[in-house]
Amino acid sequence: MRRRVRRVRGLTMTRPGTFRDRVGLGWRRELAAGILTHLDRIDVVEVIADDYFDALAAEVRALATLAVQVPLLLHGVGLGLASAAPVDEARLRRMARLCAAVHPERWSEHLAFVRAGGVEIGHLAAPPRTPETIEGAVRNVARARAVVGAPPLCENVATLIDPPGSTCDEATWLAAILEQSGAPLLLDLHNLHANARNFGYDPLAVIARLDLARVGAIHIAGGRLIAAPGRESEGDMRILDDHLHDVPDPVYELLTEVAARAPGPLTVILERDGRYPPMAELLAQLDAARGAIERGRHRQADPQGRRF
Amino acid sequence: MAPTLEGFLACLYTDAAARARFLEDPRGEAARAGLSDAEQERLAQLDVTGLGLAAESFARKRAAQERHRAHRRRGFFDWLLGRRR
Repeated sequence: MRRRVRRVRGLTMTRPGTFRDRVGLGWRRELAAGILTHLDRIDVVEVIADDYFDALAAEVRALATLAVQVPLLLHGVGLGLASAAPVDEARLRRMARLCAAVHPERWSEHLAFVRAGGVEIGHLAAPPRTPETIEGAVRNVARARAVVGAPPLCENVATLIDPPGSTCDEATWLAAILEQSGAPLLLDLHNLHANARNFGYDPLAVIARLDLARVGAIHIAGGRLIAAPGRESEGDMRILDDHLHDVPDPVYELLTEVAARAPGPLTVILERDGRYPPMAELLAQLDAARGAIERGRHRQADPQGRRF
Repeated sequence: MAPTLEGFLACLYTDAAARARFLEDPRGEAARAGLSDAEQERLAQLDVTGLGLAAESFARKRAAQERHRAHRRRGFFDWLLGRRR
């Protein structure tokens, strides 16, 4: 019954001569029951790979079973691909083993560095945007492709600090890595929105610089405005990409822009990492994403309506 | 020199004392870390507000990761002792 419903949904979303866009949700233990009971409204799930590197064999088998039931993407958070230093081979092999066991549709990782000089930062840091980190990221992506057997979707990251030591802007840096590595892009629209707001540039200009044929998946999420301690009154607020809040309207608007320009099918994942609302609210955000895509696709079909 | 620059930034993001020394004397600290003149120049213009916010955010993430690891360790021992199916 579930498979029949999914097939019908696919048919209703596909116009003759076009492709099917998909919208899904990040798999979290707290959301598991809700996801499994609403697979008729969730086209794809994304699982944090690092959560399974030390998992019991039974847990990995369960994940492989899930991948049979619903299209599944594995998402890495700890490789640190965008570094002038070589990617850690042991971590790459763990990713390769998990991919071999689970057979995800695709896998992804961030264009960030997470450790350097023996220091673990503990999260995704935007590296200095320099020729050295472009070269390092290209080399690391090639190594990841060789070890895992498929290239990672490479994700743009959010940052609260304008990456120190940079010599180029985000769009130039990102485009260079994608072009030189040939890797597909995991375009995080909330990260793009946050960075653009935090550092005063136009996110549409970044989208215009990217080759959207490379977009293999899209993230949407929510965050909140924060101020530096003691500087709340100075108005220097920045967006923290905390995945704890609903998707804001500007992110849906960016999704429409991408859908209006992207030549291929889109896979959109809603990321939510805590303060979980009722499942109905998450499903409503998935529907809002579908609406945003549809508006963009209509614009693509009617070039007179295009903004670029 | 970028690996050195990344290592320097990792220290700034995780070590409050290193951060304080840097804010006191950005060029001097960068020079003592072996960074090039060009890197010292760029770091002297570092986004100070962003540095504080980023360091605070990374500290929260590290604490959350430690809680997550402790939770997983408890889960493993529960399984080992037959308290988890």
